[in-house]
Amino acid sequence: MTPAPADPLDDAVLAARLFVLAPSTFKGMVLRGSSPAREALVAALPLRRLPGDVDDERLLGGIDLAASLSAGRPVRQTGLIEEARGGALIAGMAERMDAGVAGRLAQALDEGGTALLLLDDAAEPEEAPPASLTERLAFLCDLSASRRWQGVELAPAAGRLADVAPLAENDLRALAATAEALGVENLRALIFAGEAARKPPRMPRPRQKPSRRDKSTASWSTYPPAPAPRVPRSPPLWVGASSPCPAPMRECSSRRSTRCNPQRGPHERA
Amino acid sequence: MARFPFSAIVGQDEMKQALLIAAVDPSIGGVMVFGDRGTGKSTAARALASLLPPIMAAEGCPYGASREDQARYPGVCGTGKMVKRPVPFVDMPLGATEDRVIGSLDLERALRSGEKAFEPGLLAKAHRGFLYIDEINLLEDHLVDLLLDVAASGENVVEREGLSVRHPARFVLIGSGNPEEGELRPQLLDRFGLSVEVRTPKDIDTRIAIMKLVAENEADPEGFAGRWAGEDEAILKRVAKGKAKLPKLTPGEDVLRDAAELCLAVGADGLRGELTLMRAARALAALEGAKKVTRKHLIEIAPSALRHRLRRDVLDETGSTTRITRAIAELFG
Repeated sequence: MTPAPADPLDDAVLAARLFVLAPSTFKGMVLRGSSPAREALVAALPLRRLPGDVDDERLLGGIDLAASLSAGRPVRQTGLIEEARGGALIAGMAERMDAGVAGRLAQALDEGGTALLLLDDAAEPEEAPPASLTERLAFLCDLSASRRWQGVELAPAAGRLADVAPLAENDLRALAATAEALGVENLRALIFAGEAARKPPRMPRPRQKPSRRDKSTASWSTYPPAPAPRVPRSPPLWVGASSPCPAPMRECSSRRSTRCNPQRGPHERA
Repeated sequence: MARFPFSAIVGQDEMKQALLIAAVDPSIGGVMVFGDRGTGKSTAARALASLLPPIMAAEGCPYGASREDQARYPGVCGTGKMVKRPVPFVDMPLGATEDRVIGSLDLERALRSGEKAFEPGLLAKAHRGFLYIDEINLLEDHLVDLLLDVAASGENVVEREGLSVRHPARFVLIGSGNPEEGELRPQLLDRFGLSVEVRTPKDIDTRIAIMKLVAENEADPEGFAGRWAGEDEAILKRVAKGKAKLPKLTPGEDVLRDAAELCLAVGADGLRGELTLMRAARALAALEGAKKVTRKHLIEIAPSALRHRLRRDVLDETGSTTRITRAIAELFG
């Protein structure tokens, strides 16, 4: 009997476990495609919702007008970014996000302490969450083809990323070479891959050194679905993000690509 | 949180050089950085700001006023005593509103005492420091106009919401953008002193070196900063020496002639190109501790000073750079 084929949700769960382990390192995830699997995954993560029409006062903090008027003195309120520090914010319909909100979030991501989940429901090829955010997040998971809708369990994070030794020179070289072969130029993606390799997922206890499998896991989970390698003017890449099931990544994950959606990579522009 | 040290940034020499030149001579008029995402543009700008020695500024002054500012803007900058504070670095968020940038009515004061007061914006915060704008090509045109105007005049004039305020706002403007994602109007580009190109390093060894440094920094930011403190200190000394040397350097007749010839040959519009080229060559000479400004300095800085001013294909940078190097080869051999 052949084993059941891999579902994109498995990869997303793995990415989510890495993310929960070190939110400040991986910065967040982009979850593409509205599906029951995505809802199940989101439900399993501790998140704070960020409405699309959030204003500066609520996002960054400022004066609470009503409280100030009733108290007769200025009352400050903290913003969502501050309130969610150490946790993560989630934005639905991220492909419609205002550039101004995205800019402030990108700054918060750079400053550290903030993590972000973007739900991408883009239907048209030209729709996409703001690139200023997606390139700063480590993982991209496309769940639109997932056939599952339950069984998402995120065990509490065991161990710390810092307990696993960083990659050795030859491992870094292998990751960099893989990136080159895939046409991934962005350095953030490379750095995310190096970090992802440090936490062996599905591991009962963190090991001292990343294994061979950890390294291949890292490369499929953080390198974006690239166009044919070395295309001179490549379409925008999913920089710093990954697709668990990207057609152009057969080198890394042939087993996983068997169930790939044959459509174009997310957000490639013609 | 410790910032990534300037000296630990791998490669990107043209960008680092342009930033140091702007630090030596802020009158050059800002740096525009074209290039790919994730290449350390904002890291470099931040690192430079934190490397520079602290400034003396009036205590509690929202403008970080110097003694001269206090004399020039008596009503605005107050008379507070001088204390040390770090060189300001303002990272302007994409989609910042005009209110946030230039300042607005102070709601807090209005509520508390019914007083009409001015709440300074990002321009005030950036005074005497750096204003960094990521993806400047996506910024609304009227804001870019306003920023360049303030950067050129060194003063922010607010006449709105019943306010009438004038405050100092001298800063080095650093813009970044990807020309493939929208163009900047040539008039605006021309206002930037220098423009540089950054590309993602393609060489595997460089990429590995960067990954290692980032991981090291992530694991122990304080220790990492400590290990690079010596090299940062050396850069700081170079900048300080360059600043002191700058007024003593005057480009000779021969260098001015070279500059004019080069600008004519490449078709750089306007006098601003020549002026910037001359100033940048002088700042470079000062930074290198040279005795005088020579043709070598001019040639070295010419691509940065001119590539965004060529008449056609302003944003076709490879084309512009090639045109400049060709003209240099033809003129100076």
